[in-house]
Amino acid sequence: MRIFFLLLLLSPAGASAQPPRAGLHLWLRADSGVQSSGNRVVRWADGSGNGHDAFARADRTAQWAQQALNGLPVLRFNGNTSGLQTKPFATFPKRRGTIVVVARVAGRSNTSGAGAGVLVSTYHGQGNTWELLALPQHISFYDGVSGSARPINASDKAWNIVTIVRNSDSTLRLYQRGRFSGELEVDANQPDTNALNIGFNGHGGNRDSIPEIFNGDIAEILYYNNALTEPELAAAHEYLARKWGIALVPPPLYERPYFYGAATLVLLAVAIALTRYLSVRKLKRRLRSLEQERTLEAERNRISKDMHDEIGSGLTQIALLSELMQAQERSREELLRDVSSISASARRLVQNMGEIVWTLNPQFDSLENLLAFLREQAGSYFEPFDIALKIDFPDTVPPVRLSNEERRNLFLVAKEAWNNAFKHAHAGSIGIGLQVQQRMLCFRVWDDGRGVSGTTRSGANGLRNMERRMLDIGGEFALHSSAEGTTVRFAIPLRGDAGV
Amino acid sequence: MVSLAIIEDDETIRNYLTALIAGSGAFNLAGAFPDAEAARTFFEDGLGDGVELLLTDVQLPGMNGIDFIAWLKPLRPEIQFMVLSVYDDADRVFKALKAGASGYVLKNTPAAKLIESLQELQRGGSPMSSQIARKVVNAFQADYAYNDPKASLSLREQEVLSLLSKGYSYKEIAAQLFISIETVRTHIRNIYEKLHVCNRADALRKTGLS
Repeated sequence: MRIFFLLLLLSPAGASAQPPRAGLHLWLRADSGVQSSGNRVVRWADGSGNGHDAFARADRTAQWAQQALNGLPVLRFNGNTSGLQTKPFATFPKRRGTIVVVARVAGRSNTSGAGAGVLVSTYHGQGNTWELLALPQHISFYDGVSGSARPINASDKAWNIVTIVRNSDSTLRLYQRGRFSGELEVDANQPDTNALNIGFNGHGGNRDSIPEIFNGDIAEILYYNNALTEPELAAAHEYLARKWGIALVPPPLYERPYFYGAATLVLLAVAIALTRYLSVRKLKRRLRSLEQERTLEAERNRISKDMHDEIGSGLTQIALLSELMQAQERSREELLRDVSSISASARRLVQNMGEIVWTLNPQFDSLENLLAFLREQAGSYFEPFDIALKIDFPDTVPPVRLSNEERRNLFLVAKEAWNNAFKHAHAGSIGIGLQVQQRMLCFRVWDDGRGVSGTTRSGANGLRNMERRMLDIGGEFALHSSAEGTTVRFAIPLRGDAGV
Repeated sequence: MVSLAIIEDDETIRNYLTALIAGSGAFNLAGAFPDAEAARTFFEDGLGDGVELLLTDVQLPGMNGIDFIAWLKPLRPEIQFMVLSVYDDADRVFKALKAGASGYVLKNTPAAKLIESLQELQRGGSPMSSQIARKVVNAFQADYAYNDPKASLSLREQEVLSLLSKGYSYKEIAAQLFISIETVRTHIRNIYEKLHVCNRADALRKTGLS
């Protein structure tokens, strides 16, 4: 939004029908103030009001050509016999001034060896001169004081707007078609003549041999006795360009007014937006990491609570049994039994510890590891007994990663299931299997025992625990029981990023 | 009677093991030490020349058990080193295996089974849990590029190791591969040996001596 507004500011102001008037010392225009006889110009009146009219001489004049440019007339110089001249007046009295000429070079001048024709010149019979010189290749500025010339434009035979501006003691600036074209050192000099010759170099009399008569057209001349500022120059060029239908060379971006202001604002806007974006991103990242931490912490709390319950209860058993042994009158048989219970509890605890360590070890978080662990644990559990244990895992499984909680819960549910099958159902054969389906990992534990009853309280609790564990990891739990046997099914969905 | 030494810093456990082994009739106890330094002095003084089996805890007050094995194994390569562990902590046991141990014994193994395990150990190296087997598999895979051909696993050994890492028991492996349990044990023993060689070569390479 801001950019749009700035662009509006940069667009050129409405063209004026007049050039800047401050300091306008001489104003000649081919569409006004031309006094002619036939089409020979007799007098070209000064529109500035200062009366510096230009006159034809006996041997020099110009042709007034109609409909020559943009429907307007121009003064035509023929390179042979043309020329106009003003009466003397003070040129650049304060060493500051501007001359703008709208002209077109038609060809070589016949009056100079180099083919050079003068557009305007300040020579008036003696002293040093400044000239705008038209060579076949280009229009130049000629500094008669130092004797050096500097081209202003490249060659073409198109209409041109040529400007010289003296704005310091030592330099002169050149413009063509409104575009700054170069700077010239003029060494604090000052042309010491005081009139304007148009279309020739003002030489007459002794130096007639090289009058350097211009071969081309002149449409308008603006002559200021101060140095125009950049905005004033722009206004003058705009005026001339519009009037005569000449395209200006647009100034480079960095010379336009308000450019630096606009650029700074744009940069500022970009900087602000960037900072905001970066800080938002940082906040989001921090938020994400905090969430991750929170999830991890929740998981850790769950696991430690679990551990606390299991190990707590085991240790309590040991403590109570020990006290029992010491407190009451127990027979030797009873004592042996108690001790045996204690040692069984203790071993169970160590076993639990081993399981917990396995659960928490990140090295073993793949499905493959879980299967190996299940196989091992089931094997060592049933090894002392005469049970036919069948393990039905696929030979290869997809590289699925399981979370700590998933591993733990799946293992515990399986363990509870085969424990039930052995202890309560008195089965003769027990099996554990896995089926990898497209979206689910389906585990099952089956036996041929006499059915798990849900009516005993501990039985019901056990089943509820298993179900809860599966639900906690987003899975399912189901149990089918009959007199012939029981099958416990438990499954978790495969995540979309399985294998990552 | 096989000569055996123990390093265990927990007094209760050390006394228990001493009593157990002394009463077993299959082993005789050459020494029971509370730390690795005492054991070291024992061997340096030449008193441990007859020892065939050494059980050591890993966590010891001074020098730890693994470093002790790494020190003694090159001096007495014929000794079977076993690590005493509360549960089969794969990381710790694996380190011990690399240092030169042939296996581990769980501290809470019931008495009867303990003696039996020791005898089995003496014969053919200890059982590997699936977790430890997995780590051994990885160790061999990692070192593959630098392997001394003598130290890389044969096809049969790779099969045994793979089944172990899946949790199969000795019995099941024997059944799967149609070999005897004894053969399975031999394979495992060889695997341990090669692990030591691997590890030694690795250590030598790291010090720029191989």
